[in-house]
Amino acid sequence: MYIEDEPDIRAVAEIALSQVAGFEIKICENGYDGIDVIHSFNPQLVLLDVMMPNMDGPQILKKIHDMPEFQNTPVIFITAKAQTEEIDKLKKLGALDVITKPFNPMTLGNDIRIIWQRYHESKR
Amino acid sequence: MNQNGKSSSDSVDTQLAELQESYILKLDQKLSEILDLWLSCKTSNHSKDLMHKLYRAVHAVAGTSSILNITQVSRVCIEIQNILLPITNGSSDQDQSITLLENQFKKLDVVFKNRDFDAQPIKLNS
Repeated sequence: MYIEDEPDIRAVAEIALSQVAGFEIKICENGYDGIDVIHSFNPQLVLLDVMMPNMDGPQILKKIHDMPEFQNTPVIFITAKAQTEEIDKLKKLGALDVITKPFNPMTLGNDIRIIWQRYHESKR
Repeated sequence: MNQNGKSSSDSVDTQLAELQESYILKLDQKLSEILDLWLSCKTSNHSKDLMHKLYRAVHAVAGTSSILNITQVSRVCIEIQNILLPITNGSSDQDQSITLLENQFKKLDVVFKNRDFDAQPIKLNS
């Protein structure tokens, strides 16, 4: 599941994640929609934009992890704030990792796969 | 790569090119709004709320134009975004930053007036 408020970025992400990378993806435009569909979609992984109006990425992460059935669902932030201290702050909130914008639509899926593999190897 | 692979990568290339084209058509309005916002910021003596609003507008265009490889627009907007962020956080020398912003918005104005967006192809097999 990917939550992103910019419609053009949503459209690129749909292509990058669904057609290029082959993921089954649900894309939502805000945290309220995301929280609405999370139970029916039951994602293995959530991608979150950081800067969004009304409910930002960190707030959405907290809501997701406050739900017992999703408390361990891995979350990756996708953000333009690329300074190390910002990235560290986002990871301390419970994110698995941070991907910086601009992402390359051709390699976004691969970047996610690498993070995913690293996450599963660390759990062994 | 087999025939199916070639046609599916062409299809992705085509879709990305169409997205880029569609976004370029919206850029006139988006850049015009940003430039108007900057004028409002100046006349309001750089009110905090307006500067935040300006940051969000520039941030959105910087992000999307970067992903869609509209290089001239993304370059200038990223510069503006990087100057604006510490101003909105209250952590910069405002006078110096405003001077830097003034210069960058002049560049953005030139990009806007000349429609010099410099869109580059986004290709699966580039």
